[in-house]
Amino acid sequence: MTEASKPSAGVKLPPIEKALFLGCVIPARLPFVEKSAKVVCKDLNINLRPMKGAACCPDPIGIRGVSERTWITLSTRNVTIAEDMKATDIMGLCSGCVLSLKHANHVMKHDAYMKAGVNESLAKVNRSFKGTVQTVRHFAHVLHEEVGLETVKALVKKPLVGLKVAVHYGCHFIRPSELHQLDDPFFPTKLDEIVRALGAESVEYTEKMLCCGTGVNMADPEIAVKMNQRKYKSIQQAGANCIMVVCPSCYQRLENAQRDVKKVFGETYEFPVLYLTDLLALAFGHKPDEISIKSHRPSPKALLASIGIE
Amino acid sequence: MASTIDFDFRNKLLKMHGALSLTYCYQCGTCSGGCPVAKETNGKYNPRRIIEKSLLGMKDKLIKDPVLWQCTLCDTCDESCPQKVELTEIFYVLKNLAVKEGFVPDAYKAQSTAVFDNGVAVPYMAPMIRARKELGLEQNLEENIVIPVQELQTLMEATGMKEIVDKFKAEKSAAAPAPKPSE
Ligand code: SF4
Ligand code: SF4
Repeated sequence: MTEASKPSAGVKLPPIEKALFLGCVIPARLPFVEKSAKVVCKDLNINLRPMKGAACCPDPIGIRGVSERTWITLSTRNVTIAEDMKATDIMGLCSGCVLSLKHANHVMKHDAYMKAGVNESLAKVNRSFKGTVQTVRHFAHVLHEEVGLETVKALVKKPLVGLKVAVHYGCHFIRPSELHQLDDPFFPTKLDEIVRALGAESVEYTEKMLCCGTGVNMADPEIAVKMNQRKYKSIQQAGANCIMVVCPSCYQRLENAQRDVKKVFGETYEFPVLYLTDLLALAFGHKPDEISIKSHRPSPKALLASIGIE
Repeated sequence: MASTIDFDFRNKLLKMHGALSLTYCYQCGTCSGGCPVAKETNGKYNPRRIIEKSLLGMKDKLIKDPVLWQCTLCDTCDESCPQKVELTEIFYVLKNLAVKEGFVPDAYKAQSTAVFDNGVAVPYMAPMIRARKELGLEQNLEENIVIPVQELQTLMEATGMKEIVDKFKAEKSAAAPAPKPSE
């Protein structure tokens, strides 16, 4: 590690242990997001234990829509991997993965009928759900509840002054709110607080809570692209210069749909989409190259250069 | 499509895991008022109507209509329903029933098939494996991305997914032109 890329020395942090559930989209399509997450976790002293043999979460929209029973059985299987590692806390980087595993862990603990049925299937592969995992959380949740924003602020070496961020919460990061117990389902503030802690501005925009459209896109892309147009227009009107997400489905959708909106409506939007972990890494002093910022489309390079990050 | 009321279907639905909250609905329309898809389709997509049809047991109008799949699963309706009707839970129950009767969008078929065959929705492709190496993500990369497909398939067979995917595959090969015998 070069001197310049070394995170703030001198801040001593208590270690946090997590079983890392990576899911499929991030490692197989967006490895640069995995990279920024790992870089940031190292700085935050979050110890990540890989969950060997973990598979698809599976998708809480697609697979659950086809077979609820398969969905909960496969996500419970993922939870049992953490149990077998004697891990009590699972962390995910994707809102969909966290939803699937959190739902499974909750239902299996509270619904004896479901637990018996799912365990019967799991017995065929010599597994069983025991209920020893205490928390399943998204990285952003861990940041708030376990690391704390004061610590995050103390680690900032390069405040992101000049970034006007349109925060996109995405639906499943906070909803169902009864399950997540994280934030208000209509007026959330947690991610905005993180953005501000990094020195950037969180821009209020009308369509902040509008879905990225991934769900409807599976069945009807025409509706999805209209929703995307509405969202981008609102982001532009509010004067934001980038979008921040915490879910790989939202990430891919909000990057790709800028091309779709151009094709369908002839409107051009060029908002770089950044993951929460990218913003943290940059604010902690890591170089854009280290987290492969060139992999983002549209490219955030010019924007970052304009605030002195190169 | 005749709009017959099917009490058997209604009663069957009410007994299904996740669908009980149907009976709380008093048809206020709050769910449709906040629904982003209802907004984009000028009300052609309408969650209150799906709940109403479910209460009336209008089976064909529910499971044969592609509208069932237009929900983007944002959970806005569940969060705002004054009666705590679990709309999206009910939609999942309906979708699972529609799948059993063969009504399911292609993208869902493709995804289920991919998860059945590979154990993951998004398999690792060679360029991504290279990108991961360049980013220094793992030392024993090949070892870490081994997915226990066999184990997952056993579970998918036990939970009914195999049967469903087999049907998707059979449909697909019936629709595709027969391969030339010489190949
Ligand atoms: S908001 Fe709830 S009670 Fe009102 S119509 Fe929709 S489901 Fe029924
Ligand atoms: S979950 Fe579906 S029905 Fe409910 S508000 Fe969102 S898109 Fe509409």
